[in-house]
Amino acid sequence: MTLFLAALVVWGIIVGYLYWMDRRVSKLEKK
Amino acid sequence: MKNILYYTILYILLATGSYMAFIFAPPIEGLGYTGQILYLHVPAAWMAVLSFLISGNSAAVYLFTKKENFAMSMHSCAEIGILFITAALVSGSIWAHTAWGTFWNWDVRETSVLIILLIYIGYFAIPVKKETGRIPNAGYLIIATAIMPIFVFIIPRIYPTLHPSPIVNQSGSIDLETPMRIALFFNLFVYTILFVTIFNLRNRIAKLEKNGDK
Repeated sequence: MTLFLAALVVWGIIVGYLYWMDRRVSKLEKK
Repeated sequence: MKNILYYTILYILLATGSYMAFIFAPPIEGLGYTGQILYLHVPAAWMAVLSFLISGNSAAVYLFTKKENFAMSMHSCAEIGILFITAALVSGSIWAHTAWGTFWNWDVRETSVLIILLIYIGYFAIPVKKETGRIPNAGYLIIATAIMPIFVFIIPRIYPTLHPSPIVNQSGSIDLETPMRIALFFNLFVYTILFVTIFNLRNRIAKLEKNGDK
């Protein structure tokens, strides 16, 4: 269970980073 | 809004993959929960091979067509391949610590994967010159992609290795219990989506970089 929760946190950080990157790229593409 | 939905679905898929790896699939006998690294290690290694193959193919198409899209694609795939192969190497090393008693023991499989990693890191040392464009880089990647299967598929099968036989063994069957097989293939599917997401994002960044240079 601990490993599963740790995996959720790690994936959260990775997906969050990808989403943040996607937003930045979208903004730059509109310029 | 569309982006939030996409990334939420991606997160749910990755979380489900982890649920399957850590809770749904039973632990491997004799390895305990360390064996659950399988569901990170194998998909990461497969995605690395896929990235390198796409990278080599894009490089070959770029040499023939000289279309910049393929140059971007080969570059992105080489980067993503390095990312995934590093994940496979590090997870494998942690697994080796439990199963073999040491993080690194110059096993044939470990060494061949390390050589591939170094070959692809070498690609980034090749400068892009205005006169030649990315032609030398594409040539390097084609040679790297031709060498890669020898290190991944042939050498570890010739020399004795501690590494277990590949998931899909020589007779073409898969020696895994059904829940483990479901968990593995689900994770493989999710990693493919993760690969497509990173690939798409990296290509968009490469286009922005190119427009910025003009």
